[in-house]
Amino acid sequence: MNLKKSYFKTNKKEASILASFRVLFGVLMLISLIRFLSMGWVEEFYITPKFHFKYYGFEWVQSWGVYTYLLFAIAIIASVGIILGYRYKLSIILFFLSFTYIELIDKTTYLNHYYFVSVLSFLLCFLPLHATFSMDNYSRKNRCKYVPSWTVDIIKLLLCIVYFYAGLAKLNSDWLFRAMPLKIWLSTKSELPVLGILMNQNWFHYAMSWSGMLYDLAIPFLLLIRKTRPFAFVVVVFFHIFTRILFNIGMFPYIMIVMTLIFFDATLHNKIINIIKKTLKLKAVANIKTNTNYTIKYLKVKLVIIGLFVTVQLLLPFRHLCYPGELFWHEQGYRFSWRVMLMEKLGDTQFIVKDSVKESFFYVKNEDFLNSSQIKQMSFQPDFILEYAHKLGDHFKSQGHQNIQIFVESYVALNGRLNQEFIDPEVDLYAEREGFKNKIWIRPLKDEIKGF
Amino acid sequence: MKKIIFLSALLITAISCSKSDNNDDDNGGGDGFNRKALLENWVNNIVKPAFDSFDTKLAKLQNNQKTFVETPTEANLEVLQASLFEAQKVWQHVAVLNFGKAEEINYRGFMNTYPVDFITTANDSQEDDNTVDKNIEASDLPIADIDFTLNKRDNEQGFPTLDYLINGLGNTNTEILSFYTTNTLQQNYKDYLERVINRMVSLTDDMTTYWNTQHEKVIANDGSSETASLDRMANDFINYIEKGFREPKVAIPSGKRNGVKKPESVESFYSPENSKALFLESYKAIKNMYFGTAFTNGNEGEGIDDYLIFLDATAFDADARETKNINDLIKERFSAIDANVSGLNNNFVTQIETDNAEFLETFNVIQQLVVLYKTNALSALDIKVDFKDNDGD
Repeated sequence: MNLKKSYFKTNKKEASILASFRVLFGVLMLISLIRFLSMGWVEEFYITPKFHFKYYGFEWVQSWGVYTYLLFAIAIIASVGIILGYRYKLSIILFFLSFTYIELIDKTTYLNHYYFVSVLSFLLCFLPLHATFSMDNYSRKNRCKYVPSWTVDIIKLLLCIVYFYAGLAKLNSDWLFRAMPLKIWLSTKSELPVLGILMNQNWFHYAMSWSGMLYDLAIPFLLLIRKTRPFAFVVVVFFHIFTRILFNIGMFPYIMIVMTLIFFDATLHNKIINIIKKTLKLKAVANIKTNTNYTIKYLKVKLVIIGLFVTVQLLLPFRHLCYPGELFWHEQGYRFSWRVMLMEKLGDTQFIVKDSVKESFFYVKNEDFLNSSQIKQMSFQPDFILEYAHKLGDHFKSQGHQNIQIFVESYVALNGRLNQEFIDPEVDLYAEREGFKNKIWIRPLKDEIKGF
Repeated sequence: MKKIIFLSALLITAISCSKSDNNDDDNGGGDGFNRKALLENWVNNIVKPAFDSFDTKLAKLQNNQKTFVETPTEANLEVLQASLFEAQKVWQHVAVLNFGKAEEINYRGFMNTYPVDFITTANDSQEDDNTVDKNIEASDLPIADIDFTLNKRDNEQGFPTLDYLINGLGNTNTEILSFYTTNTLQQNYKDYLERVINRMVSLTDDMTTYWNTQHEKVIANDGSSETASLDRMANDFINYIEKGFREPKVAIPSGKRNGVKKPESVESFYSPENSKALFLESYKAIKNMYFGTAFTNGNEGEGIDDYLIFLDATAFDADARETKNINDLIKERFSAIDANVSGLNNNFVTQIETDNAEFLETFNVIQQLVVLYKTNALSALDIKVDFKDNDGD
């Protein structure tokens, strides 16, 4: 009990750790947002599509049309606020809300690393990242040299969860004993300079799969232990750069590399801050009082919220255990679980609109409603298929069609298995509801994937 | 510690600089499959020769049209009809890749959208109240002023309209001839015929210019990304199988899409005895692309089959509990199509009217190929349909 009390009340770490983390996080977010804008993706993913796929329970999150740019502007301004430590709390809350809102508009663009940014920025709302080296120090006329240890450790914990769970998810027979899907992805990379020669080697596919699994499971511990930490960081850099070369994963590797710096002690972070100060020729301001400790207001409330947050993070990735059948196939409980790079899955899914009384029917041209990346994602994910079926039903109902039933012809191939029927073609999806109940209209995979 | 950070930073910069988003020039090392060789084969041995041949056929068609308009005799009509069929056959080979300029100018749409427009009711925004007959009447708009570049006029021009004008105005050639000799609108028929052919020639000129000037650039873009030539062509290729082959030639006329047979939607409806021959040419063009078969001499070069073999691309068949080569599976699908098609009537209109069930089966065997290609083959080839970040889920 005392130990616990002293950990939360008296254990402290230098505030510079959080300050340098704040600047680095802000800069990465700023770059990511600008990159997203410059790719023209705001237009492509959030403005032009006629229809957006919604997360269950977040159907109320609507695209702002052209004003989606405003959301990006808010997120960008908030990032700058985070970097400067200017009105930090407001900035990080605005960032969390705007970024998460953007992500919730359309689940077609779901990526684990976007989810990671949302989760991390939520956590950062409760932490004193502005205790030192921030504009807020000017207005408050004080800075703090130390922050409670737990405010640093909780970030480490989140990173450990991400890595360790990603590792657990690789403990399955496809990944370990069939080297799937890496075998498929690596094989087409044989024209890479130097490395190309390895890409078609069977042993290399297995070596990559196994080392990826070991990396994810071991890296949290290697980073936590002081002795192995420098080595671990080199491995982190190597691993993420390697994935950057092989795969089209955007900012993710850079974010993960920089985030791991949180594991290092204050010496490094003081150096980072000094480098920034020197490069920007920042001068120390005289009339700022330096306090020793940062006092966290509403500590108990915050600890309860963070406690709940950690519990959810620990349990959520296991929710697939509530569903029978193969997770990779039915994907019930697949998202928000740090399952990264585990599936090569493609489908072909056609919809039939039927009049149950007249027995007349017609096929739907998916391109009339969805863009190419929506068609791709929809074709192999049951919740997309169901949502789209309802969208179609509503659309044709509004056009005056009656007694509408929606049927699906769907074929999906997963991790180098021959495509098979995905959805029961006899089931009227317009009569099925979205929910947490097991979707019994998904045909079972005719194979077994053992493991997590 | 400092050193580690420094080294890491160096590594990051070096690699992120050396690896720009599109690897344009990366066939220097490795023992990889040569994407460039595949592109070269497609462009130099399939696309370009097909366009050269088509260009010649079209020029011949235009000459015969001129002769026919000057001297409208039954003999000249027959020559014209024969040259139309010849051009339509080669057309199937140039239609496969809706690539580059073709996509830009909607080449496939303007050259070959059928059935011909006879619908006057404006059911939806897509349809206008123009028809080919009305265009020829020219009561509102002189034929010389018709703007054929409008997308809504895609079914008032191209091969289907030519087929109508040359094969479809009457039941016999004598009847057809009368439209160009005794009909009060004979000059309009001649003018419309001429404009339709001129339009096809000018569209095709754009295409041959494109391929003659851009082919090296297309081949040079041999990387792997959504915008690299091979990814685009592999997408165009499946797009053709679905939208250029399966849908217009089989799915729509058979009534697969809404349960209503539409024999009038058969390609070359006014010379339906040619419909199967055109279908077979199109099917041959698909096989040529897949196997990398040269247009002129039928020699086999690099094709998708070679790439799949190189990748050792397999699919585990859960029913048979065995792993099969995707290339073998695709060849099986081709054989199933061959077997079905050999039993079809040369005249698809007759086929639909007498035994549509068999024609619906044609759809099914094609669909089996499409699904296999779109799922297992595209997976194995790692062909991208979009270019956003991805973490494989």
